[in-house]
Amino acid sequence: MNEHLFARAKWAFSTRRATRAFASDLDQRWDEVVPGQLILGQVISIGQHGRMQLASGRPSTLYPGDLIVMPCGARYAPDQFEGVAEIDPKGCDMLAGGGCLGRMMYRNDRIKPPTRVQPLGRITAADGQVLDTMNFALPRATATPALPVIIVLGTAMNSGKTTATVALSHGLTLAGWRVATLKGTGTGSFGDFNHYLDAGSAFVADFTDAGMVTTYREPLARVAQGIRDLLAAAEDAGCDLAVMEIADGIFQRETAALIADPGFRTWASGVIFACGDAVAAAGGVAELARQGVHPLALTGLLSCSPMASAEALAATGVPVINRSQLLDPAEANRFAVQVGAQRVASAA
Amino acid sequence: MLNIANWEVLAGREEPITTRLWVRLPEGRLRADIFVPANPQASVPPLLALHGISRAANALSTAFAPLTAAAGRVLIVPRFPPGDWPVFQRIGGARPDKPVLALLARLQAMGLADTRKVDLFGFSGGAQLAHRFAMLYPQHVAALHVAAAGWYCLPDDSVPFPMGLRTEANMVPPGKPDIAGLMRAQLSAFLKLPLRIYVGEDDRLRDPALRRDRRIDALQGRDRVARAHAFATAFKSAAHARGIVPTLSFTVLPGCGHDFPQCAQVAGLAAQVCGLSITKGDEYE
Repeated sequence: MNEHLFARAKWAFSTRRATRAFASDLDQRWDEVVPGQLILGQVISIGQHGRMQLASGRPSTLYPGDLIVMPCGARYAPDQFEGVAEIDPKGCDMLAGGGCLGRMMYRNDRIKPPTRVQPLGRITAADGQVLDTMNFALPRATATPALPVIIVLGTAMNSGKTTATVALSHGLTLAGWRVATLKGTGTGSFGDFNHYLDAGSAFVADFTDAGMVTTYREPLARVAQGIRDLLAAAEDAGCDLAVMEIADGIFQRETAALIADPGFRTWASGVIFACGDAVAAAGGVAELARQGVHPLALTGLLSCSPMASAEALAATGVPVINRSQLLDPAEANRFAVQVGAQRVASAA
Repeated sequence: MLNIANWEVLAGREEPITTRLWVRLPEGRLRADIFVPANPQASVPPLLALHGISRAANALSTAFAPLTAAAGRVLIVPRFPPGDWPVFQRIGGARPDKPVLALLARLQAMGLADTRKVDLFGFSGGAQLAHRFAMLYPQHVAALHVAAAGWYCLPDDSVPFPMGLRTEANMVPPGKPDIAGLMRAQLSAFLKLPLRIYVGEDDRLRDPALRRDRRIDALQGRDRVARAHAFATAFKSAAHARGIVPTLSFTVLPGCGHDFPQCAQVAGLAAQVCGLSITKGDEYE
């Protein structure tokens, strides 16, 4: 009977690596739920998320009564919700359209309450084990890969990180590099993922490929392991270098912990910092310098304004580069050299 | 002519293939003739041969195709349509590098050739573009062969761009790339490339195609032979200044003027580029 429910359900983007044939039964031991476990639920009412992102890569309009499969997870999104990975048997919250069920703690005043979902059970395999996104993750990397990585950081959400990540990936691809475009932290969503694919990158993956629904409230060790797993997979795919976006701002908990981690400076070959204005640039560069990180360039909304760019350059000494420059193969190539990318022709 | 729509079947090719591609970009179009030999050798990078301002791409194909076919290597011969590219020799206001990159990417994607590194040859204006392309994208070049360039962008940051690599104040328009700065960023990688310079023994005429400019005369010499020596000297000097041992040869082609077919037939230029004959020149030391 459950097979029919699983087959009818809309499986979220964050479950895309899951083998659906393993779904066998349901259990309702809600007090044992942990982030990543797959939940079958039924939409009660439509709130902020009127659509969800399917594993197939398209959005799907939601209706009350829809069956959905999403993992349990936390959410950090200052412009939407903050939520934790808890499932209330009476009803839980859709924290992200890419697939994240939990309990909302706070919401931005400008958005609607969350879409409500009746949890029907944790999905179990035939042996009774609860299916978890970690079951389907990329292999664990045992060492930090040597792949050069350009990290894209920013002041906050919507500072221009994804635009910069995509443009640089495309510019590097035009210059002939095999580029891996990766998202190291954040909440599972196909928006950025699809933008990365559209850039022509040779390899695209995010933290959900490393088994995490969201990196919010995950221990630093697990987030760092996920990043190593992504880099190892990119290396295995024959990439010459990686461009990795780190979500949210540099004061966000996991991002701040990553930057402060001494290991960051060993695997992060270079940093590009996205920000909105010259003051943000000055503050961000100073904060990063406090951690021993010195950006190769500033970008983001700031770079749309020649005057703001000039102010930022004067204040920080860091060059400002805009989207069209990142898209230029000659400009992008400079960053490849700065992070020590090497190409070995397969013909050589 | 091969129907390019059938490219998927080309990967398992056992017969030689000759095909023509067009790359169309906002910057302009680029035509290219591609010669894929039977049983291509994976160990040999493709040869990308760039024509001069006469745009005689066919002469390059005629000279190189038999040699590359015998060596099992892919030959790529682009042609810049004059209407789209009145100037293709320099990278700056015009961006001939972009369609060349797009062409290489297309060939890679089609499985016709591994273009991640190519041997890059240019004659005359093609040699100008070749060395400038290599200065911007050294990672794409296995070896650089420049023959009879009219003048050069010297790897010298004391000389203003485009004769050298110094960026002058107000030289770069807002929103445009600082090509000299980008080349400076790549300079060490460029100086590590194997460089072969060729020039005809009799290529000393100040013909109408030669850039006549007092600054170039003073810096690089009055003819192509002198200018080729100036480039070799600058390359060697810049390499040594960075602790790099240059891999550089300088070949004077006996009995040759500024004429590619003559250089190929009389002095075996194409064969030398393909490494099939002993280089008659000396290492530039």
